Amino acid sequence: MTDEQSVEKKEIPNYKLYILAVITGIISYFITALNPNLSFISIILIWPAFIAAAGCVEFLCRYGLGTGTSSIGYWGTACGATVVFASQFIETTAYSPFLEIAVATLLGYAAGFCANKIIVMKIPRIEINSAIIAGSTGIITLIILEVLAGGVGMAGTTVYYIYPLIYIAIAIGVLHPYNGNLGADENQPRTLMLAMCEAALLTALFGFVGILLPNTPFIPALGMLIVSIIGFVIFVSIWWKRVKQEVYDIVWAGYPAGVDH
Amino acid sequence: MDPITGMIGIIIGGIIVGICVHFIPASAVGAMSASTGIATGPSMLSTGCGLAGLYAAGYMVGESVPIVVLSGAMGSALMIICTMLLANTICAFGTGVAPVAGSYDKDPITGWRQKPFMSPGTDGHSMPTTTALSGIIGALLGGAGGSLVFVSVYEMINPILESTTAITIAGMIGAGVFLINCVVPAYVLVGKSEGMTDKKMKLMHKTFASCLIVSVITAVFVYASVVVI
Repeated sequence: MTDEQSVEKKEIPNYKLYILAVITGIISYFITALNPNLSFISIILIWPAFIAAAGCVEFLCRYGLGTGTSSIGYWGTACGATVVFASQFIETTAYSPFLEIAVATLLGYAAGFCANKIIVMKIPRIEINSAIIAGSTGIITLIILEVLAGGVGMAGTTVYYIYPLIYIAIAIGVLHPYNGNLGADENQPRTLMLAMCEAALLTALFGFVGILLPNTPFIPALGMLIVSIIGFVIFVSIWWKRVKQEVYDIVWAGYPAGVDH
Repeated sequence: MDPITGMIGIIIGGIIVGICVHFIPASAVGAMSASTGIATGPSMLSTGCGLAGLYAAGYMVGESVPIVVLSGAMGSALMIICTMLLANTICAFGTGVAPVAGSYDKDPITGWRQKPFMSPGTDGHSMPTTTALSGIIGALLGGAGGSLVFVSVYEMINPILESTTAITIAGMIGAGVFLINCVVPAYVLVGKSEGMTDKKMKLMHKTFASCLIVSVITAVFVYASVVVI
């Protein structure tokens, strides 16, 4: 078995990551909807969605997409977040997370389909990967809004003034892991581990925002912040261990290569 | 504005946004003055224009639709004019290269020769007159398209939401539709465009079809959210 084949064998298929993200996302939604005090558990369950989206960005950008990783990240977030923001008008009785996730995924699939069939990008599985990015960002936006709105449902929520923050934060979490690991030795496990770090960091940010917002119960928001910081510390330590294993040499700032420090 | 008209407005606005990207001169290697255009990806530059247009359109909410659209177009054009002016100034007085394009020998508007002023091994640098005009046309289109989406969504949701909430949500949906539609043409342009003189203008039908499909799905969902569900 060649090195390339063994690396590919180690990779987790993105559709499996997405299935996990959808399951945990829906569980997360209903946990918050039924009991907003458990939102610190909900927030953990959206981390798989960050990983699925970051995995697809990595897959697509490896082929030389014709647009930057920032563009694909913003585009994916635009698909997911636009669908969720648009569903503000749906009455609470008719509201369903399944509908939003399905529409976001469909929108992503349509854009991927256009890229492959009309523009003829010749990137394998671009449709499915675009759909996963859009669906995952839809899940993340949905749960974050639900958590910050205090589980009262989307209709009538008053957290509209933090939409831009949600938008930018999700885009960064989705697009940066691949950029942050770029290089000849880039591999999926390390990229996804960085995605975990960034997911935890961003949920910590939303925990902090939740503390400041009047809609969000204080104790669950504090719980979100603490759980996310614990997760961040754990993931960063794992990621850093992995980086040290895979790099040729680490040279600290101020020390030339080869000098003991 | 009735919801059906609003839905059609979102679709038309989305398509115009897609088309505008073809006119915007942008190139990542422009950062090294190695090709004509502003030094960033076309989709990101178009997004900047579009967001500037949305801010400008937001100030005109409450006026008639053409006024809002025109305001968005002007805001967007102003943004790209400032960007191109500064980019040209930096290239001329900082890097020391003249604004020339690689895709034509003489500027179609001024008739000025291009090739003698082009550095060897490059495809041109900064923005000559025709390329700059193309950027302004693109920004006008992009600002108008984005504002049309914004005002269409605003008019649809204003009756059911408070005005401030409606403006914010319409602005975010407008920005979202803009981002969706301006990244799709980037697949056609492959990271570099000289504007209306670029050969990739011939591929605009692909952008049109792609943006039509994507915009229809978005518009139908917004319509369904507001009216049907």
